[in-house]
Amino acid sequence: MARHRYAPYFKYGDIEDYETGSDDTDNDETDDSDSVSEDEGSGSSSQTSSIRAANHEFQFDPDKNIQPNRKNLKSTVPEADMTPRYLMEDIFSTLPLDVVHEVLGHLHPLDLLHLARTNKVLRFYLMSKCLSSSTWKKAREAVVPAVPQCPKDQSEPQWAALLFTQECTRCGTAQVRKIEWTLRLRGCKPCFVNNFFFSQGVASTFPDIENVNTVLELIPYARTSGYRPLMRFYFLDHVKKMAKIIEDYSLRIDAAVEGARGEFDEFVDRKKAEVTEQVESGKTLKKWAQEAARMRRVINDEIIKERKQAMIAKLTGLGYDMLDVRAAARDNPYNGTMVFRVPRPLSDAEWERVRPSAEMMVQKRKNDRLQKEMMIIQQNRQRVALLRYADFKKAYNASPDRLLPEGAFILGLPIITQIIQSDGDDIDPTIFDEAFKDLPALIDEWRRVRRVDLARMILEAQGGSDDAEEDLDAAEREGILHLATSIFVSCAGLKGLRSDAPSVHWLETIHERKCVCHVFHSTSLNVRDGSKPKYDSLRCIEAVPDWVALAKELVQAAGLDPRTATVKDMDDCNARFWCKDCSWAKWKGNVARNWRNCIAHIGFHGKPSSCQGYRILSADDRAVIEAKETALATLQEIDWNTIDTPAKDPT
Amino acid sequence: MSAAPQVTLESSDGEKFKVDKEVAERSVLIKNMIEDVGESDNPIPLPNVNASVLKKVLEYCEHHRGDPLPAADADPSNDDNRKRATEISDWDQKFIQVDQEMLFEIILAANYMDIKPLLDVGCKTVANMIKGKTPEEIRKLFNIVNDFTPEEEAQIKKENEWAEDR
Repeated sequence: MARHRYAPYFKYGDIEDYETGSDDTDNDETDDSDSVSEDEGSGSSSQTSSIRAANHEFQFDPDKNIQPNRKNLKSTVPEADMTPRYLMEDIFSTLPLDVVHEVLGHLHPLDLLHLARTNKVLRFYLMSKCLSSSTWKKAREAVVPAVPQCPKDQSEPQWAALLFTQECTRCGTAQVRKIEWTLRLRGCKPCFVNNFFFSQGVASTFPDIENVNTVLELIPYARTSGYRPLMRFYFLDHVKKMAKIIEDYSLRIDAAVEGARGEFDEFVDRKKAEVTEQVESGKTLKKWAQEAARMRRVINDEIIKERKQAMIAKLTGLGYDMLDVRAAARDNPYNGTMVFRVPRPLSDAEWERVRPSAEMMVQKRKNDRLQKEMMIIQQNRQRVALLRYADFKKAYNASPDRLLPEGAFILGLPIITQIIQSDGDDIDPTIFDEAFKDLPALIDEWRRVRRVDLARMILEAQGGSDDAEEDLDAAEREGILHLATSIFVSCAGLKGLRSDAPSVHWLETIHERKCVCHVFHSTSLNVRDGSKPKYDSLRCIEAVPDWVALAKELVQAAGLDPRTATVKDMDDCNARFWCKDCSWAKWKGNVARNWRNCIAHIGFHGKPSSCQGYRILSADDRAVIEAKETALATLQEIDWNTIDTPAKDPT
Repeated sequence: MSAAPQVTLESSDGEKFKVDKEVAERSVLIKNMIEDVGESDNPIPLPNVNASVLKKVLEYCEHHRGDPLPAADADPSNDDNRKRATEISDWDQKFIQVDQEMLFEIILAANYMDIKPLLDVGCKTVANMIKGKTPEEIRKLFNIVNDFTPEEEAQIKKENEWAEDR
């Protein structure tokens, strides 16, 4: 007689076959069982049976062909002679059946499910309705809070799996929470997306199935919530299974098998009733699940609250500041270690387990708080230092260029940084007195270096880039920075901000520039890592050859020598120029510009190299222009070098 | 004041234990035997319990000598009974903190000697060992050999019907 290889494929019909059959192995086990009974004398008769013996009642040997020798050996050893080692090999096969029942009776259904997946003997026992349904039922009924009774269409293990495992019924994906109660399915998103379809899509989804509407009447369905709430949707596997059953019935009917039609009608009626019942129970279960989830949240919130209070008390008892403890308890539960917000009461063992993490979190909060407090002190010191520097700048003679470092320079000085970052909470302005004594010398040196840098830029723009430091110093001393051709452009007009006018400067106006880079470069010292400010006051200044060349042209047009003409010389000259690009016809009016505005006006044309240049006005024309400028100046006080003066076309 | 009546118990390996009758009668088996044969100086043989296990069992009986005996017809669905079923007292927890071999020996002895409270403690302890564990962890804990093939193991995760319904 064929034997089942193992329990999961054990068919009910096969059980009936086995009840009439026997072989040597079965007889051996029967004898063994009897002998144990005799050994026990007047002891409990329950010791005569074990799970293996229970299996034997069905003439079932799930271990055959797997590990026959070892297993068979077990079943032939008298219980009284069992050594501990033997017991340990397979405890559930040898314990008396009522003791196993007693143990199983204390387990949760999920534990039973896990136990049923450990080996074939246990699986056979726990998946047998007649042997273990009471065990499952007892386990389910002991669950707190209570769970619904097992529906008729489900086995207890199926129901336990649906309720308590978090695996997708179809693919086994872990951590799946969504349950479709009517269909008795826990499904992951891909399985729902790929294996469910709406009734509207039946014909296209199953073109090969005849009478698909009949199939749909006999299988359970669910409804969506919200979007298309009246639509039914079905599970693919249910459709396929039912289609196969109906096809079998159809074949029997087509073959004119006696009673086939009646059987089919009876089957249809039964299935329809089952579907109706299943759909109704699905609604009930869904309501239960929603209420259970709500209750669970309420209970969990209460547990978490009590746990947090208990942990706060314990941590403050350890000497931590309440501020730090509360801050740690407020931590976002999703940002890492969850120790405060776990819905589990804080037993002594639990506290010992979570204490290191909790202390680490509180310590981190404490460090953050101390760092923040220190940061505020340091920022206040920075403000004090900057105020002191503002006073210093007022008193310092920086004429004629007024070129002075930004506050960031002061904050970046090592001696100032050291004071700012020192311990303690002193923010008295006098703490910087000593440091500011050396400041004039530092500023003098800074100004010297910057002026040399500026001189180098001009020389490079003029084509003389190989000068040594000494030569630059000499050139600067000779007054190169005061020449009319020594012009600088800030990045506002060079780095793509086309809509803005280029910012053109001479030495004495460099400090006035409004460079957008101010926005991006902090002038404060970074107190967290102690790094210096990134902003450099001359970072955005350039001397551009094209602009210098154009300035040279204007000086020459004014009849001066570009090598010696200073800014003052050009201002005193008071010449007016026309822009050759801005014709009368094009702009309906032209503008006579002084030499400074001519240079700034270049930016209007995009780049200096594209400018066709300027033409100087005659003395008569200049007189007319000056008269108009005077009249305009009386109307509104406008600086002469910041407005274009309208004039008629001289041509 | 007369001394309490005593009985002698003999373990499977021949060791004799003289204990108070009240203590020995925590075992329904011994109680019935005493009632059946009457008081005697002859030792009561316990062929299924060795000396080390019997010593442990008697330690339990000694500690619980004054406890009320469990009612035979206690309703397990009763809330109090259910609560008792999930709790183990502190002393019992310490008492049952033994290695697995001894634990199962105690359970078998309690079952044989019909000491229901001790059997309960043993079964609850085993159940607590199983609780919350994965199949693999349970196998490892009890030295259960995994006789499923990988394919079968994957299949059984999906099959939860009663064997009779498949």
